[in-house]
Amino acid sequence: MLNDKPASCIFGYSLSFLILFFLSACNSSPPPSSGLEITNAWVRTPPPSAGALAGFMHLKNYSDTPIALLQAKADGFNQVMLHQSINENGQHKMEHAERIIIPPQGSLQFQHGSYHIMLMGFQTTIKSGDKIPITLIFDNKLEKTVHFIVKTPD
Amino acid sequence: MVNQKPETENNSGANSVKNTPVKKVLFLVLLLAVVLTAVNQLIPSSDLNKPINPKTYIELPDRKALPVVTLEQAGKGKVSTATLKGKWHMLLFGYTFCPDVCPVELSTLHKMMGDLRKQLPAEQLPKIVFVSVDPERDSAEMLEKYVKHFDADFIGLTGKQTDLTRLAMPFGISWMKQLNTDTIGKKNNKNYLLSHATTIILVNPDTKVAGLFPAPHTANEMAVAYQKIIQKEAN
Ligand SMILES: [Cu+2]
Repeated sequence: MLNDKPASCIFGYSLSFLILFFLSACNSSPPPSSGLEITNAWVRTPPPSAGALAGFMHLKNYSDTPIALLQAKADGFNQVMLHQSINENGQHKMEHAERIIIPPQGSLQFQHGSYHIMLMGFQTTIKSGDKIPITLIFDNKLEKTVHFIVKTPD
Repeated sequence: MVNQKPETENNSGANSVKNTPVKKVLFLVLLLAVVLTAVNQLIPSSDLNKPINPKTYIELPDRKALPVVTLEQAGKGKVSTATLKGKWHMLLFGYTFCPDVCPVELSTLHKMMGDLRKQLPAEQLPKIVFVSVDPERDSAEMLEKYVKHFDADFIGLTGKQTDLTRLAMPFGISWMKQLNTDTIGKKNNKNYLLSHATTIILVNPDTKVAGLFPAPHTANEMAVAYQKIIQKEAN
């Protein structure tokens, strides 16, 4: 056993793992009727004078068919696009993503350095704690309006 | 938990505890906990004796001088890059219309400065300079507000495209207006995007470029690398 770490520490680790294990096993709420679930939707708090915002979220497809995200819309911005950040040879760029596929029984994470909802041109002040409604349009005629919370991640 | 072997093969210990699936889960959880605790102890908080990870920092043997160009800083007006003499500087290139990468870069550098402020006296700390390569949209005043959101000591500079290019080009740092958005052709389109290099350049107190920090950037690794670099320099 490790010499200077007390057994209680290891016990603590194991206990937290056990708790996590049981939590994940029990936490199986029924999938939404649309077959698609969107969680952890957020927008990075913009620094003053920032001209664009990025929205992130987690998408989960409970159905047996792929679902494609085609477009995003939001009031108060003069342009909203689905983007993918790409880093090639130390060069960063953003590209318009036309169809973002969420695989059957799979999930997709919008995150830094990858997919984001690009919100461009806004007049109002946007601050931490605000909620921005964004409508997402999918290929199966599904439209979902999700409230994105404005926050600074730690 | 798929295990096709007969139970007896697994029961080699003196204690003949029945090897039920729950026991196996418990054992794996415990094993994971032990491994994590061990790994936790093995990683030193800052090992200044090991060589710098080449993924974090690339030393430039030729030490080119930082080109002398005149840029603009809010509240100061025209500023020559020659005035960077006397202190270490880290220069990164970006633009405020960049919502995904630039804010993360600046937050990372703020975290790195947090580490360094705990370790080094003020005169040895680097100055962080965010150079906007988008003077068409970024005024020096906007830039100042933008960088101060991340750290009160950050500096924002911008200037003419020709001067910006002269400054960055020798170090392979470039940028370009992207024409792949669906706004091409719209007149006065203010929502254009830029592709830009994410490499950070390290300038020494003699305004020579000592090396480059290629992306991706990690606050802790950059802080450790920086301390090693200035320590080596002092000897
Ligand atoms: Cu974008």
